[in-house]
Amino acid sequence: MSAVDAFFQGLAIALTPEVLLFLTVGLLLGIILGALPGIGSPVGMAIVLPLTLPLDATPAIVLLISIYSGAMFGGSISAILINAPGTESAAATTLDGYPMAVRGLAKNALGIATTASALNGFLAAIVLVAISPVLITVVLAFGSPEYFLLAILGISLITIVTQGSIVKGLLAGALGFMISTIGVAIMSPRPRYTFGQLGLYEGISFVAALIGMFAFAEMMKLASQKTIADEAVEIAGSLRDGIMAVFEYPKTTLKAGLIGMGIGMVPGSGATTSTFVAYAEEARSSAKDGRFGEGDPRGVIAPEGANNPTVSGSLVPTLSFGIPGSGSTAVLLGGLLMHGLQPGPTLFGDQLHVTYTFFITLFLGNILILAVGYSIIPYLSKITELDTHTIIPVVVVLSYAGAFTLNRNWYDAFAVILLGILGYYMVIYNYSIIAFVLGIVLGPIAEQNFFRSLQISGGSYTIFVTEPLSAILVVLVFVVLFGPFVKPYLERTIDRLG
Amino acid sequence: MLDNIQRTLRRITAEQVMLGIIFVLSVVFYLEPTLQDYPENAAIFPQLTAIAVLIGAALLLTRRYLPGPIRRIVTENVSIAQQIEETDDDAIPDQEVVEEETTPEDRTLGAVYGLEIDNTLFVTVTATLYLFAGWAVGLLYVTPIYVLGYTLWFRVPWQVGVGLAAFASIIIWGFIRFLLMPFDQGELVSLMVVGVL
Repeated sequence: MSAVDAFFQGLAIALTPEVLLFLTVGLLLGIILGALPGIGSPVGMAIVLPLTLPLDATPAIVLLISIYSGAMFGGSISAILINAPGTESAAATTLDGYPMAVRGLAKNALGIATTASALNGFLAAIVLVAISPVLITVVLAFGSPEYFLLAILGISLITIVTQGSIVKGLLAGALGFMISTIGVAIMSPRPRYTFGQLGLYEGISFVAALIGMFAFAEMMKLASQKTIADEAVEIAGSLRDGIMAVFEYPKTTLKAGLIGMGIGMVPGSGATTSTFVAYAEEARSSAKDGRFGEGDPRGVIAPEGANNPTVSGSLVPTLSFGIPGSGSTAVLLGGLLMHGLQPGPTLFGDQLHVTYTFFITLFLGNILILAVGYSIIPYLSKITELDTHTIIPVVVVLSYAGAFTLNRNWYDAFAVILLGILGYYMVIYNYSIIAFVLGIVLGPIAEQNFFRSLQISGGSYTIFVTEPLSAILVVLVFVVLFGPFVKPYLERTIDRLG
Repeated sequence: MLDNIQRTLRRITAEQVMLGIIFVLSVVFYLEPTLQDYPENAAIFPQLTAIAVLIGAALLLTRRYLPGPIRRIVTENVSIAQQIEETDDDAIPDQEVVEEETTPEDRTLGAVYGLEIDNTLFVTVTATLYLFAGWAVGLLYVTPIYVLGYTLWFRVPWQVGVGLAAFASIIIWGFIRFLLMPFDQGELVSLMVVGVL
């Protein structure tokens, strides 16, 4: 099937009533979940993930992607109205969004957020479709050793991008790998670490791990917070002026989109990084006339213009190499695997039309965000008035029921609690939960590719360095892990020589 | 002697407990394939990952006693884009020092009667008890009790609490009705019935 045929087949699937319905439901759900501080897209997607079990793969993934996309916009609602970002990626929006709202320009700020987010998301989806032929070539060049090394590189990158201790990040990733080995072995029928418990034969479901790490741990954190609605401001200002502001600064808008998409494509980096980079870049380049931090519209355009393109960008490493860039894409990857879609050559070969369906729904989703966003702006403050203690018990109930439903296994439900508690403390002590989750999700794939590589090489580990592509990946892993330590010495040496 | 032990125990942080558990787990994961004679293709990968976890946990547990350069690699926060940042091992994480002022409306039902329990601890313990009870007698029957109890404790208006309990029960019923999940049956009850028969 040619790429053009696949595109039109994807378009036909994306326009079916079923897919459009899930796209709309997902976007609305995403906007609401994104607007609730402490919930956000990873939690929402993790809870919804097991509920997609009865669905076909395509509508299920469309639902997850649209929740992700909707939450990107939704996160900015609470960031602007109550100075509490619904998602981490909306934190940069609070810097100028909330001051605008305090100055009576809440509608302007929300108008900017809706327009910049949707417009750039729309453009990024087009770019994504345009660059997919290049992606196909790159993806098909990867074999088993490269896929194994990519998993290691992904975890290493997450460690660095999240700016924590390297050892903590690697420990989290390795722990995820280790937990993923519970259950019947991949390369032989031998049960491992089951200690005679039949319920452990299938291992710990990675979806249960995602629910525990994102939903349950987040509820534990949320429990210590009180309702934040009393800090809300009145929704005043002009929506029209907000929309026009985006077009008054075309350079800011497009630059933010490019930054968002570029950073989204880097495995291990998500919208939290891209929005702050876009904001910092705008503050730097407009330092002369900018009033950043006091309600400058460009301070809202930059992070909002970067957030949705990051979704498009992050689909590149997630779909092509199975390396997610954030908590949300980790859940999305879990969804792909749960529904039998293997990231990599298949999604860019036989199932290319499915990949195009995802890209096209992103494109359509951004048009919907515009329509939905503009129409609900007057009622947005209601979403942020929800008491956290009305959310927690419902999320707990859904988490257990969802986790059990995966394999009809109570061990999965109990894993939610255990991994939730682990996730809570990992967050407190700055261990990357994304690296851990990536370890659990990618564990079986990494193990399979590790063994295939050894089978190909007759048991020799040199296979991981003899091929040019795998050698490059090994070098990249070393650069990523040791670069920050070697860099100061190199700089000093160059200074001395210079 | 007893005082010394108590002082040492008081100095143990939650992170050290977490790392200790991870360390023990990694030892189990490393030894189990050898003790139980796993075939080579089932043992190598988990043992390699267990070694990585073991080394990482050991380094983090002993970081205060490590020589300078190694300690630096273990403890310092790094980033590709930024310089290495100094970190303070003894710093108490943000989440632990944040104390919000509570108004009378924020006080839990327990606090009103002089029973102060940390909210996070309450959520964790009740959620665990809820799951055990759900496993034992069926999620359908314990869900409304859990949600009502939870909302009552946090003094959510009773109408909202009842509405939420009904909503949560409908969710569970939906799982039974549409996904055919046995949430109306408890494992313990089933075992007891089998025992009686």
